[in-house]
Amino acid sequence: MEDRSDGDLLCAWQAGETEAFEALVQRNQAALLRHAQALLGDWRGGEDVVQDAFLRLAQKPPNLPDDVRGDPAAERSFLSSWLHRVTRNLALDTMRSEKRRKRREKAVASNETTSGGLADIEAEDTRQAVERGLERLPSEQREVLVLRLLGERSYKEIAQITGKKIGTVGWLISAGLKALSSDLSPLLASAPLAPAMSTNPSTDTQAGGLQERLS
Amino acid sequence: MSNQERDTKLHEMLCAFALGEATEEERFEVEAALERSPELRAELEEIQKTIGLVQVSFPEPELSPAIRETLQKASETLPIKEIPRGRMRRVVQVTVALAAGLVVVFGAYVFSKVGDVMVETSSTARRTMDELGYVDSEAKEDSGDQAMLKALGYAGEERAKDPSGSTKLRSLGYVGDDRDSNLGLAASAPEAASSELRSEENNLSDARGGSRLDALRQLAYGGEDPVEEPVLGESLAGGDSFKGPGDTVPPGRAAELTAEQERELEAMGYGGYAPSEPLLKDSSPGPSNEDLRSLGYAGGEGPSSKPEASKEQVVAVGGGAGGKFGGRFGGDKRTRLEGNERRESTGSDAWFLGRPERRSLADEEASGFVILDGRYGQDPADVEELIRGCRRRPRESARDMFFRFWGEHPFQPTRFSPVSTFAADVDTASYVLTRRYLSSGQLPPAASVRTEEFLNYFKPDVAPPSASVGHPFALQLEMAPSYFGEDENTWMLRVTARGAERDRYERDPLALTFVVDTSGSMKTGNRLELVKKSLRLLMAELGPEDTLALVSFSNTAQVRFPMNSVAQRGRFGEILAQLTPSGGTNAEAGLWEGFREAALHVKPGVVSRVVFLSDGVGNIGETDQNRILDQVAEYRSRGIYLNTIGVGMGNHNDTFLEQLANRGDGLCNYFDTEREARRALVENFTGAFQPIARDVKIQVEFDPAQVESFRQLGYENRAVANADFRNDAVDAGEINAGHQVTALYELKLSAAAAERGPLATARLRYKSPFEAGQGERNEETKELTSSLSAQELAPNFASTTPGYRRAVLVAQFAECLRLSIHAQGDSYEALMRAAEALGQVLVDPDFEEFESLLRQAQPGLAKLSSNERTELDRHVEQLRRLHYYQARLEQLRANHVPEPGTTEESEEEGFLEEIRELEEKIRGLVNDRARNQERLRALGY
Repeated sequence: MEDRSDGDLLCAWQAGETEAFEALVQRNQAALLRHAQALLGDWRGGEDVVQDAFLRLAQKPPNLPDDVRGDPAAERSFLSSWLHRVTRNLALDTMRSEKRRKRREKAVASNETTSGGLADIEAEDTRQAVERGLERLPSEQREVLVLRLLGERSYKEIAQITGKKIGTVGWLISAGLKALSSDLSPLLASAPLAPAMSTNPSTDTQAGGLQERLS
Repeated sequence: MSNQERDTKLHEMLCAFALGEATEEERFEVEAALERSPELRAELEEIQKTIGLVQVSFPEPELSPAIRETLQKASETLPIKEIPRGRMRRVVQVTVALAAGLVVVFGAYVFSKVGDVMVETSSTARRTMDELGYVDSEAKEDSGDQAMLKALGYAGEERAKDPSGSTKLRSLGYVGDDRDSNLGLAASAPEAASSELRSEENNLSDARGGSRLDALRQLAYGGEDPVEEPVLGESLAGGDSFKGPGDTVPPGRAAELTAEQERELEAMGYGGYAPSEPLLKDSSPGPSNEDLRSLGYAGGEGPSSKPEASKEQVVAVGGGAGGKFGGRFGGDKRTRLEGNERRESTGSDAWFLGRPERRSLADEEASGFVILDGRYGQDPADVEELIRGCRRRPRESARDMFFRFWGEHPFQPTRFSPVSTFAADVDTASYVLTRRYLSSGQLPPAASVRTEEFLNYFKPDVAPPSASVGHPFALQLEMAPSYFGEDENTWMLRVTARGAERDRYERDPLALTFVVDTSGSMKTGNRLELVKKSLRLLMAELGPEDTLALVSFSNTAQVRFPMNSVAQRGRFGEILAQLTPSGGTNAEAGLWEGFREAALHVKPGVVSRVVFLSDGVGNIGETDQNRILDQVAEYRSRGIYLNTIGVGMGNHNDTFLEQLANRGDGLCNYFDTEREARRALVENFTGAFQPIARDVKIQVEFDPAQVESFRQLGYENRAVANADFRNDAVDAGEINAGHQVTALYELKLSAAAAERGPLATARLRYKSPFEAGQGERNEETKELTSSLSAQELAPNFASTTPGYRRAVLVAQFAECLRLSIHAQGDSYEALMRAAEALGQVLVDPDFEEFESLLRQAQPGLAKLSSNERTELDRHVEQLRRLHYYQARLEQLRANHVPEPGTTEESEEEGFLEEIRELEEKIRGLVNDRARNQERLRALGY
């Protein structure tokens, strides 16, 4: 199941294989939940919105454009962007109608018991700190950051999902990361988890380049 | 630009850089700037840490079970959608395919069951299909499979009960097995050759009424019928052909055709497309033998100019040859090309799943698969390319032609060369990958099945050499009648080279550098967690004198744990635990970083090894691949081995991983479960890391007086030119402690073998391993020899060692999965029975698992072999055979002086004529098809 493309799954489901739909849910739920949560500012919520998005998929699935059909990566990008857009609209609707209120405190409280030892508690503390840091961001920044870092959508896909320009996406990410870095600086000092630095010991290159170009 | 603006821009660019969004040019600039500016590096580090913090802090959320249930329910109601035109056309096509499939199944069923009883009326036909559960258009695939199996002789009950049934099956082309044995015979000795040619001549004159093809058939080249009469299946399938018996059609779709469309379709030759109609209404006498034959179930029956051929002749002449080739070109969905939206219908998964992997023409040729119709039915201009592809290429040997057409080596006459040479290989990845495919309900792509890796997966059964031998190998030969061979002259030889065991305390200290892929894809299916777990397992195996290092890579590479004593394993474990998947796959950076770290700590007497763990390095281009391989060889010459481990599946590029390990003189393993990791790293610990010999080459020489021809199973990409056996500069395989290398040869013995000398002689040539820091490597080569004489042959399969039987059955399974031309027509049922019998003798959990794999693969294989071929496919197949046969004939003639009075010249002319006719037929077929499609298009389909 895992190695079938999104287009295949979609077709298979339309031909009556319900497991294929289940696979699509499996594949996309995490990123969509994160997206909804980022928009709603509620790290334990978002399920209703995502459920509705999948129901929308079940009722009126999109047609894959011809230039996408057949290329698994493009299919995935197309379908997930579609789902993200639907999720986004639904989430914005929800927010507008003010039916939903933040219930973070309650949710966090119910989730605070952890199973493991000290390390787990620390991890949970870190997670909460990061959640709070994201919540303090403007929602625009929060949304793109979550899409990029947790949904692993590219700038281009994020631009399609949110209807923003790619340049704007880059700017929002940069601004969001900057704010987040300063907010979380106490944690960063002890964070051993940085993705790898470039280790290619490049030769001494001449001065100029980037800085010059930027000035 | 103000300072602030510039800082903002800079930060933006660094973010893009860290996230892999920078362009090539930007990346270059950023890297250069980073080099100069410590502040910039600090800023980038801050960004990366923030990203890492966010990514690691959030576990993947899931929808609650209640919601998933709701969605599940919702998904059962299909969306209401207009069916677009293209879809409609497919519906028609699938329906037609279904109809054709029914006829085929029905035909085969009737033919095997009642033989020559003609079915007169369509009501009988309906009843029979009723029994088979086929009248309903929603026919369940399962029951269809069963019926098909039965019809194809795979279920075996009927065969067991009724001996004459097997004759019928033979006539169906599924039992017999002729291959090119007689050609092998013909070529084995000058006398034999000339007598063969004489008998050929006789055949030609005997078959005066027939065509030259008859003679070919008697030479066991029995091809398909060059069909000329209108064929039932073809007329059903119309101009467009389908290969999907058993396709299920989504209910209700077929009914959406209007009556008018229906009529038009019928007019276009799509008659009887609706499965609920009596299927045979237009074919007045019901499915006669003629029809069945023309549907390809009669094997290679006589040509159209000899329609009176009786069934006995079918059996005697056609044998299984036609059927042998029959299934192969069926409708293998895995090889079907894309872009044929109109006709995605194939074997099992029906039109809606038809999105298989892309393959180039070259790939297809290499693997012997061709689905011609989809492509060549489209554009008449392609037909010349197709025809050219069937011809012999300049300076191409007949053997190479055979390989190009069918992806296998033919039996090689010992008269041309009695020697086979190959490099030892102890990789096992192909078997594990196959298991993974089967457990997810798919057949593995044929090209990924490597017989030798199947053989070498299993635990050694031969005793290791005693110390007194003086070599770290025991070389053993065992031979018995070939269990799946076609006659009593076919035998199977097993050659095993068993490496000496090394106890743990005997092994040299190790310096292991682990290079771990931490790219985003390693998150899928918990691959990174599996890697961590297996490394922890491995750590427990290491002793105080060993050292280890850890490098990780995603977009870039980083030394996480510099080479240090295993005493520091606590620290190592901590660092390991912190690895998190994200970012891209810069495998190259990881590899070089690992080698660099290893090279810094090379010491005499210590085995230095880089262990590369990744879920796929598919993004490396071919030119880069070659460069990387060369570089790996360079490090190897400095004494560093490279092992590769594939983790997970999907984008797992095992070919490149295998090549890397080959160059690095290491192993390529493949994990998908903790159990498999344990097996490869813990149970086989010394085997994985302690070399006992390098450049191991094995050569087997047959006595031409006793052996007529032979073929090696597997090792296609490990072959070494015979002349290079003693050329010690040629790189070959490495063998580690406790390994067993197994090779199988199928061979044909001479009928008049009265010789006393050895029938087969195996030689093994190796060098002692060299380790890092030894200075000059020891290039001294050693050789050991073992031989087998005719007196030592086992009288039958049952009297061989269990290890031998296991090897034969495992290899047969691999050949079935490869859809090998040599296994076509062999009874899968017999394989399963033999495996079951052996399973009761062997105490081997791996073999138990093998038995279950056999069962898992059965439905898929049966379906494949039941797929129908189109007329075009059959013509092309026939054309290839003619060209191949002609090439063999030329080769034969080059090797002996023609006797006076032979008719070779005229014979060859006959071939040329035949070839010309076939080419014309193919052209005509393609053009007709194109015209038909044009008309269909004009009608709006």
